[in-house]
Amino acid sequence: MTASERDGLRRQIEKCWNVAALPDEAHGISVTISAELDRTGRPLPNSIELEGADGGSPAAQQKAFEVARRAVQRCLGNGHQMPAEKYQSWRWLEITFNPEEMRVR
Amino acid sequence: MVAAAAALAIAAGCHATVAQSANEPLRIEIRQGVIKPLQIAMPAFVAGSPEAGELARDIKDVVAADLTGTGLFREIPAAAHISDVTSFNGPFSFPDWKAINAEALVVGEVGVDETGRMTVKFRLFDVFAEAALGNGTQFTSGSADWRRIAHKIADGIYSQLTGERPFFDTRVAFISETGPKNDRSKRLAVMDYDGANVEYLTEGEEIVLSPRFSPDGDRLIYTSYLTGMPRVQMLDLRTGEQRAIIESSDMTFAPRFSPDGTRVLMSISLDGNTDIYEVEVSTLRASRLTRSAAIETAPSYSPDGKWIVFESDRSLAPQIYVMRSGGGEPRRISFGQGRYGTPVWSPSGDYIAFTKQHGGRFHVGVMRADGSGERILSSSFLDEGPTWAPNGRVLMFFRETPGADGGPVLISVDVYGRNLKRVPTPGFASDPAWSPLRE
Repeated sequence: MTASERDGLRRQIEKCWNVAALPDEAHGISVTISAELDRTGRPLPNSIELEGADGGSPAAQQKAFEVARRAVQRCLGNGHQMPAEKYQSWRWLEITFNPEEMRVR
Repeated sequence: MVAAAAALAIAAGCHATVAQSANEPLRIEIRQGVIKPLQIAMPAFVAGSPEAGELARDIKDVVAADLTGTGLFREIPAAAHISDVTSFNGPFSFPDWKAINAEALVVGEVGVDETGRMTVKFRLFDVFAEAALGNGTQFTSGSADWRRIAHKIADGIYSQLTGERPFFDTRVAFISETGPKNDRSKRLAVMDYDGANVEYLTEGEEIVLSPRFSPDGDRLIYTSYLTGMPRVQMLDLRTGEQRAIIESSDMTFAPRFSPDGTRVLMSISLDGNTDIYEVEVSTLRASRLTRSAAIETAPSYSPDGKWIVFESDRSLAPQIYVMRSGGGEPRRISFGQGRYGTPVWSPSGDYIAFTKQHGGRFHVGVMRADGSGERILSSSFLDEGPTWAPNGRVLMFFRETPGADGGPVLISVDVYGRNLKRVPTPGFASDPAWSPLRE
């Protein structure tokens, strides 16, 4: 995958990562989720899983995961144009959502 | 060398290939997102019987007002809906709700039986996951309680979507003010947090100030001038019984319950010197906690009861200090420019709200319990007297407008300074005090 292809995917998901309703505590939690995409770039049903979370209570981590999952489902729900010949290199996604730069100080 | 090659590729706008081994997932990091209201669809609640139609509309409207009133949610207008919900048990056409970008779907049903008992059910769905969030809830009550039930439903949705403790099923005590500015009649009053169901608890023959709820919400303490001197009174909201907290000819004011409700902090002015005292509610025994020639007032416990924050002018201008709950050497925590007062510890324990006077204006703000991270939330001719919602995420205070026709109104704002708005009251209102969440 090229850097610009990765950036395109990153920008697509950024638009749907809405942290407004996150609990205060979750603004300090970084979560990593995994997903398997079909050949159109849509996440396969039930493939989105929490791989890890850094910081906060389990309850706040769960909310941070739900918001991250919603971002992927919303912005990749209609697929994403990816190079078909590289399907095996983007079939499995691992996305880290790091809110550090978005915290209200 | 690798770094240099990567930099060169990016600078040239080339399609740099980032190292990724076979069978490894594609890894990306998201560091920027958006902050905007979460889109929520609330189709008309299903009426389980013909007589439930109006209640179903009213309850759904209050739930929607609670949620959108936080600034965290936006209700998608019914005119934009593609689907209707005609059965509480579905099926629900999630593609239709996805098509209008609804992130959450609320479905409700209201029924009224022949005895007038009302049953209200609701379910919440994550539209894009096509899955229920939580188990849904059912409430049964007399139909007169419909607003409370609506607030409870909104509380459930708010908690499920934000992970925060709720605050809609609460009351606010305040001072209702009427009459000309130089001769105001002040009555103790309570209302729902959204301004509905106002009840007056005193008749206006005395000046009353600074009401505070007990932790169980059953009692109010406040300062009364019935005898011409300020005196802390306690009112049992269930029985209407009223009494002075301590029998004293000295001025007593600025009361606040301890988190367990067994003690009350207050200021007592003795021989012209004002200090902070703690009074056991059961024995009425008072202990003096501060001993200085300064004016010490506006005490407030930390939620664990171990600390007290208060206002003192021991360093000439009023500032905020923290001491152990049994007394001891206070530590000053406010060091910004201006005069600080009326500190109130957040129910979450993380912030202390305060009033600040600086540059000819008044501000309400919050700071961390160690005094760091000061954040100003509001500014006006006169903003004063913050109180916390029980979840520690929203505050209310009063704002006085200048001029002969001016007067105080209640304002709410979130802990980030967003969503500042007026709270409706029948007339002028000051000194709000937020209740705990109702059982």
